[in-house]
Amino acid sequence: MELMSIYDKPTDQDAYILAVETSCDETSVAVVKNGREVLSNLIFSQIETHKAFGGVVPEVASRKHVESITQMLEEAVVQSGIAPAQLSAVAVTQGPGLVGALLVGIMAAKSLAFALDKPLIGTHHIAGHIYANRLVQEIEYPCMALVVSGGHTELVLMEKEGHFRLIGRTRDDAVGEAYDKVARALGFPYPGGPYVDRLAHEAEQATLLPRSWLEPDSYDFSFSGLKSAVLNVLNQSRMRGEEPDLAAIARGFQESVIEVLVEKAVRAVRETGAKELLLCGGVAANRGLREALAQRCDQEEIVLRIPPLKYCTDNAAMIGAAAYLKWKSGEFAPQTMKAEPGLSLEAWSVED
Amino acid sequence: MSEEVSKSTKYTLAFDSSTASLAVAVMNGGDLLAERNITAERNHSVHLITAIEEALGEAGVRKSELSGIAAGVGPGSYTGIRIAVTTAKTLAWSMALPVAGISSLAALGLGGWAEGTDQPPAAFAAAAGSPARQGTAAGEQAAVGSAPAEWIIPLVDARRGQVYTALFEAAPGKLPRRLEPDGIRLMERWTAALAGRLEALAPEARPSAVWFTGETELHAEAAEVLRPLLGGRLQIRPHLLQGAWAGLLGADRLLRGESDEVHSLVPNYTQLSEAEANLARGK
Repeated sequence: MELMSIYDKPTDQDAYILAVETSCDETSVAVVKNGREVLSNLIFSQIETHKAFGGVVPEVASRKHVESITQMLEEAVVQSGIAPAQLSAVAVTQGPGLVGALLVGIMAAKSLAFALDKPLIGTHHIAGHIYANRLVQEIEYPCMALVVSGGHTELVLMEKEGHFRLIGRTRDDAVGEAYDKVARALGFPYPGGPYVDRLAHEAEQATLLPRSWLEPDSYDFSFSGLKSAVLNVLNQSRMRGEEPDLAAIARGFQESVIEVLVEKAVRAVRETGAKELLLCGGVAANRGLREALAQRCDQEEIVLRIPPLKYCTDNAAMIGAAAYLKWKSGEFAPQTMKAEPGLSLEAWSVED
Repeated sequence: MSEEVSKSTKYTLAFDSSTASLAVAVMNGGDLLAERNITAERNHSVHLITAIEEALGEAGVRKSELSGIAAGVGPGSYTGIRIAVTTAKTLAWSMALPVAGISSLAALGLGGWAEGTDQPPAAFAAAAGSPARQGTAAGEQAAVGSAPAEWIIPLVDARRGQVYTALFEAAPGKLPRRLEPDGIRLMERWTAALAGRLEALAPEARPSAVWFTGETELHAEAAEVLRPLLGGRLQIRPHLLQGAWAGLLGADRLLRGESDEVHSLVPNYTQLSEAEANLARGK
């Protein structure tokens, strides 16, 4: 906190935030103006490397981040056309994420902030996914965000800008995780989500699989039972000596996931009086989910916002968008900031 | 030429976070101006930048006056070496300074040996950057001089009976010369190899002292197998890595005009990650 005093309070001038994201397997650096305008957004995906392992290996991810981090910083700065001295602040994903991977981005951001005498902004990864929406258009509050990714499945209510209230979360697997596990059981390589989505669209029928609603008033999610049900169907047909109908299973799985996500999200919007529903996170790329949610929101006359795909998957521009909230409130992190693999979104809300 | 190099690399900021100690030094040429060694808690990512700020403050050096960055690239804790390397390459890139990676084991070994032989960092100030000094390339075979040198064997525990280690030879007032590259080795085999190496030397050519230093606690017993060969010349000395020694080695490289390409500077893990090794074995 003592470090905050050495910086001037933010002024009305434009804010140019350089943001770094290394929470999982994408190394990304962006420069974002006023939390809205993306001047550069470089993403180096390690997906090809991790495919060989059938999933993200934390140690390998951390090693890859170190290899490319300064090259990414340089290219992001050059593409932005903003001289380093003109930057207003350096932002970085503080958590949640893989601790070793987070640390690479955090040390790069701390070093850059120190070298340039700029404030440091520790940023919440999920706030980033939500504020990716602001890279496209202004958000109307109160709003509801449905965050779906490989590591997260959350319903977040925002009464006003920068205030996060987690009203629902997964109790076991995240949606993306469930997709990848089911994909593996169906014989697809990692990451298998897109294969399941495609196969589900080709299916002529759907295997009926359970829906996990939990308690009637709960906004929480649970996908591990569904995943087990898929494995059971596969095992049973194999035990009968039949070839399982993989497409029907994929569609049955997808329909179960989507029905629960859509119903809970729509109910959350209705019960909280949210003006918009924001779909965010990497699983927002899922065609089945986008279509079902769009159709339902249309019926219910709910405004649905989905950022373009490049801002749905992990990227630093979204971190720059979220960090702008803290820039405006002047909440900077000290150089002693820690990586927080379990950082709380609610606690990250801006101060009143 | 060498004068120009000396001038352009006067103030060096050096640091290492590969072991339990967080070590930072600010050097002027080969002279130590200030250092910070933090051993209280192993949370180097939290304290590194503030330790750098404090060391610069104590040295009276503004960061804009720095002429080079040096950092221990390991081997050691994977997370630890990434912290130092990421910080070094980002500082070097953003301040347009040369960056020199140094072996963390070399710094550990130099410090342990120097302390054991009562040589302060200042005893090496003249040696740092000395163009007369012959190379330190990994694995280089030393032409052993007439007077038997001392051997330095730094140890960092790598679990399951393994150590990160290397072999150097040294003479008072001189920076150690590398005889074996940094690597991860089974301590038992390593001491057997060292014994073989000693036995191959004529008695008068054997080192006057052999220093096992660094994280010796778990490995002292294994080192003792050299006792019958060395008697009182075997020295086992625990030592925590300190900034001054990393600073000397960093300044040495930079003063000699050596540096690494900033974007491609990476930690020296000395081995594949477990997942990569399993994949390579076809598991």
